[in-house]
Amino acid sequence: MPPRMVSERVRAAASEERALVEKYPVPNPRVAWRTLGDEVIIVRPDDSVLYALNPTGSFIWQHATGQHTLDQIVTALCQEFDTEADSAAAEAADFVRSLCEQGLLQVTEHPQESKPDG
Amino acid sequence: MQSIAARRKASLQSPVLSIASIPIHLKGREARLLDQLEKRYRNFLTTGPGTFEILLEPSEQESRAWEPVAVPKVSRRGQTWEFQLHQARAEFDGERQRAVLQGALSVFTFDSFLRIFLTLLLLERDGLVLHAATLRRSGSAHIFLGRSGAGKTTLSRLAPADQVLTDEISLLRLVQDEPRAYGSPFWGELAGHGADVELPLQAFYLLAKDRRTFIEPLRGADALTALCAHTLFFVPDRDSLQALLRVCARWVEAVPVSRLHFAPDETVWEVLANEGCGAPVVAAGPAAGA
Repeated sequence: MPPRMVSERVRAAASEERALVEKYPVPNPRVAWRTLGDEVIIVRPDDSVLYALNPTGSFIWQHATGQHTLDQIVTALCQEFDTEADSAAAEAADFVRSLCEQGLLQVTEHPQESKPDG
Repeated sequence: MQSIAARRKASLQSPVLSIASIPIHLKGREARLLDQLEKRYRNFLTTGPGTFEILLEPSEQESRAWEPVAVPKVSRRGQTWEFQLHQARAEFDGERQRAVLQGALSVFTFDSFLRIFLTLLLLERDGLVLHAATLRRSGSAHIFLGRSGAGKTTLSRLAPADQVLTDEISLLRLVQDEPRAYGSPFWGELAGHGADVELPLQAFYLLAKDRRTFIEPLRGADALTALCAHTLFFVPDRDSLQALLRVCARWVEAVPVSRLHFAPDETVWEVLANEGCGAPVVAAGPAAGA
């Protein structure tokens, strides 16, 4: 692939990530979930597929109340897990994107008024 | 000797089943079907009144053997549940504690309905219906979780026949916070009839065929997902799934869960007897949701 096309892709991905971190992730209201210890278990309603999140994924999920941007969540994540902001932001964006694709999370442009009762 | 039908005609009674200590009164005008069900569940009959009632309303439609068996579907509207079954449908009114089962009814159809019905009734009682074998050892029940082919029947064949409560579908309830396992009328390859018994539940084991036998304790989310993944459950709405997660979490707190790697020989009993599977997992931190 020509170098210019690669750099355009990288820039596009970075731009997408920047857009995502400014949004407000929130669980799909049809999803059931539960915290056990520091891990979250999610059940997707349509096919009852189970998802078990690791501690960092669980942290993001628990803070995805629709009231914090992903950027704010990443800041809290870095304080909690002593990790670097850049890599944490990229991984968190991947994680949120992946959960959105699975129908578990949604992202909104504006904050939600009340916390979901998950 | 008087036939069951004649006895029923004389006494004007219809069978009351007691499954996992839940009395269910079967009613209907089709004496032949009631006879068949009475024979099918003969080890689970009781004489007391039924807390729940199932009214059987067979239609004229003939059951056709070549039709594929449809996957059952359950939907919920408030306190009413609707069941779409193979050649039949049912509606359960939770407030009146009464279900009506209609269609081309057979023992098979009723059996399918009863399994699903029990998932609802047991969940309300902090209970579960599991894809699992239940075996009795030293006065306690041990539950072996596994989907088809995981080794439930293999393991059950290694146990004395009178120690097997089921090789396919296990029933359990928390009774005053005490974990209890029950005899089950639902069996797999061993095709037993089961018995109406109740035992304290000692442990869950997630079956994993292996070259040697050993026990690997599961904790927290691993234990919860192992249990949830083997739960028989059909209602996809969020509140019901949330209730399922809540009940499964209670079980994981109450009863230890382990992965049982096992080679199909009798050493499995030695390992179970010698090693146990550790202390119950206690959930730490706040629980979300229901």
